[in-house]
Amino acid sequence: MKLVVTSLAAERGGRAVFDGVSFAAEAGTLLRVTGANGAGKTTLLRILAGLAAPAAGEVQWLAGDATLAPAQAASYVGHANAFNDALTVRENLAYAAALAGLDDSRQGIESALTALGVRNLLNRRFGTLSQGQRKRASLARLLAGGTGGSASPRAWLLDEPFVALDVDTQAQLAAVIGSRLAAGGLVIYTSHQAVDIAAARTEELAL
Amino acid sequence: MSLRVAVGAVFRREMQLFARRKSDWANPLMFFLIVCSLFPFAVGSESERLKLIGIGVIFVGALLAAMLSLPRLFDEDARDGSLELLLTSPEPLAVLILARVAALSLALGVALAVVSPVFALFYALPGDVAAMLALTVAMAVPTLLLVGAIAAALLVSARGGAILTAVLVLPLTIPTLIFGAGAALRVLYGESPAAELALQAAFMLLALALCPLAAAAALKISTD
Amino acid sequence: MARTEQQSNEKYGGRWFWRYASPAAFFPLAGRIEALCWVLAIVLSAIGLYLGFFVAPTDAQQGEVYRVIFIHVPAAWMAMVIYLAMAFWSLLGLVLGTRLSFMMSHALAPTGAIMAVISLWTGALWGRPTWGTYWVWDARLTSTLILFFLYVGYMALAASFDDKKKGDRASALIALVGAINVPIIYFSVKWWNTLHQGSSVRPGSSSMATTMLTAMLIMTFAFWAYSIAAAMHRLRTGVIEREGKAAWLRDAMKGWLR
Repeated sequence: MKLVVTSLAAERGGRAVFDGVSFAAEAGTLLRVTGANGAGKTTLLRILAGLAAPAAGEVQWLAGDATLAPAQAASYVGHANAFNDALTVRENLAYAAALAGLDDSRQGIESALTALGVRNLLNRRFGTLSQGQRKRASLARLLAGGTGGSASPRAWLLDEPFVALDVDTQAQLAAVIGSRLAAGGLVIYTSHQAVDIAAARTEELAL
Repeated sequence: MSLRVAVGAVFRREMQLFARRKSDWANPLMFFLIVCSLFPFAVGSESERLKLIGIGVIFVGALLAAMLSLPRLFDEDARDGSLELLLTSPEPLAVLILARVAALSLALGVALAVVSPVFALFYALPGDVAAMLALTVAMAVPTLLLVGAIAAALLVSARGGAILTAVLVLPLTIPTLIFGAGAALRVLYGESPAAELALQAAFMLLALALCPLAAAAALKISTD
Repeated sequence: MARTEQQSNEKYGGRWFWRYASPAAFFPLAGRIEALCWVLAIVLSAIGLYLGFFVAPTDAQQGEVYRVIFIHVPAAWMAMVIYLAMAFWSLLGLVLGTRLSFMMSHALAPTGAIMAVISLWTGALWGRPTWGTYWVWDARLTSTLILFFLYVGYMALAASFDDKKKGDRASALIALVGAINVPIIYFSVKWWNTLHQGSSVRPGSSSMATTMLTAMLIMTFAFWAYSIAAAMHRLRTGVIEREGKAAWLRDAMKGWLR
C-alpha cells in the first residue's frame, strides 16, 4: 500500500485552503499532519478518503501495480462518531463494518471492541454512553475485520483521534495504531497534542 | 457478495430505527389522519360532495405525509456523522440509497396504504374504490420517496430544508398523483383502471431506475 | 464528474470556441450581444404589436379580445424553450465544470419564470371575456403553471446555498431532473385534462389569417430577442458580482463610467 499525492490544492466554502501539497507515504509509515486551525488538516484527510474533491492535483492509492479507489484503500474516522444514538454499539458496529466491506460477524465485532477495552458496551445503546466511551466504541470500526482480508491492510485516516480520551485510553489507542503499523498498515492522523506511538517510520506534514 | 451484505445492513438499520422510534411512522400517520379529517369541516358533510373530493384528499394527504419523512433519509446521518459511512463505502452509493428508500417505502408506504381505505369510509367511498386507493397509494409513496431522495440529498442539513424539499418535489409528483387518483376515479365510475394503473407503475419503475443514481450524485454534490 | 475550469481549458485549449468559457473573454461579447438584442427586441415588438393589434382582422368568434394571443403564445413558448436552454447549460456545467455555464443557467431562470407568469396572466385576461372565468385548467395553461413551479424551485434552491459552487451544481442537477420530468408532466396533464373535461377548450383557432400568423411569428422573434438580451444582462451582472475584484473586470468597466 502506497499513497502518492501530487500538487494537491483544496477549497472550502469558495476560499482556497492549501496549495501545492505533494508527498508520498508507504506501508508501515505513521504520518502526522500538523498546522494551525483552519490550515486544512481535516480537508486534506477528507480528500484522501474520497469524501471531497480537490480543486487541483491528484491522489493515488497504489497496491503493487494496481490503483485503488479511496473507499477500498482507506478507512476514515472523522470528528463525529458516526454512530446512531438510538442503536446499540453492536448494531452500529455491524452496520459500519458491513458498509465498509469488513467482517460484521459477532466475533469480529467483539474482538474489535475488546482491543479498545469496551467489550462490555456491546449491547448498550450508544446514546447512553459517556464521551470517552463513545469515542472508543466508534474507533472500534477500524478494527472490524482485522487486517481487512486482502493482502495489504487498509490505511487509516484519523482526524483528531485522541480528543476526549483519557490518558489510559490514549495509550491503548497508541498501542493499537502501533501494532497496525507493524502489520504493514499506513496511518495518517492529525492531532493537536503529541502522542508517543511506536512506528518504523514517523513523518510529519505541515500545512 | 459484500454488496448483498451492505444492502442488507442498510435495510436492517432502517427497520431497527423504525422499531426503536415509533414516532417515525406514527407521526406521519397521525398527520395523514388529521389532514383527511380537515376537509369535511371546510366543505360540509354531505356525502355526495365528500365522495367527489375524497379520492383527491386522501391521495394528496398520503403524499404530504410521505413528504414529511423525507428529511429523515439523510439529515440525521449528517448530524451524527454516519453519512460518511455511506459515502466511503466501496459499494455503489446509488444501490445503498435505493436500499434505504426501499426500507422507508416499506415501512411508511405500507402503513399509509393500509390506512387509506379507512379514510375512504370518512368520504363515503365504496369498497372497491377504497381497495384501488390502497393499491395506488402503495405505488405513489415509493415514487415520491424516490424523487424526493434527490431533493433530500441536495438539501442535507439545509436551513428550512423540509419546506424547500416540498417545493421541489411536489410538482414532480403530479404525474403519479394524476394516474393514481385517476385509477381510483375510474373504479368509482365503474370503468376499467387498467391504463392508469399501468402508467403509474411505469413511472414508479422509471423512478426506480433513474432516481437512485441522481440521488447519489446529489449526495456527493452536497457533501463535498 | 466535475473537472476544474483550468483542466477543461487545458484539455480543449487551442480551439477558439473554448476561449469564451472564461468570464473575462465572454463579458465583452455578452455586452455586444445584449445591445444588439435590445434593439432587435424593440424593433420587432413594435412591428409585431402594430400588426397584431391594428392590422390583423377581427376574429369572427372572439372579437378583439383574441389579440392577446400575440403576447400569450410567444410567452408560453419562451417559458418552455428557456427551461430547455437552462437544462442544457446546467448539463454543460456539470460535465465540463465551467463556471460560466452555471451562471448562464442562473441568468436564464428569472426570465423563464417571468415568461411563464406573463403567459398565465394573459391567459387569464383572455379567459374572462371568452369563457367567463379567469382560469381554465386546460393542458397547456396547467403545464405552464407547473413549469413556473419548477423555475421557482430552481431559483429557491440556488439561493439557499451559501457556498456558491455547491449551489451551482445542486441547482444544475435539479434543472436536469425537472427537464426529464417536463415531457412526463405534459403528457400526464394532457391525459388528466381529457379524463376530466369532455369538451376541449383550446386557446387557439384552427385556421389563422396570414397577417395573424405573421404577427405571431414576429412577436415570437421579439420575445426571443428580449429573452436573450435580459439573460445577457443578468449574466454580466452575475459575472460582476462573482468576479468583483478581478483586474480584467475593472479595465472592462472603465468604459462605462465615462
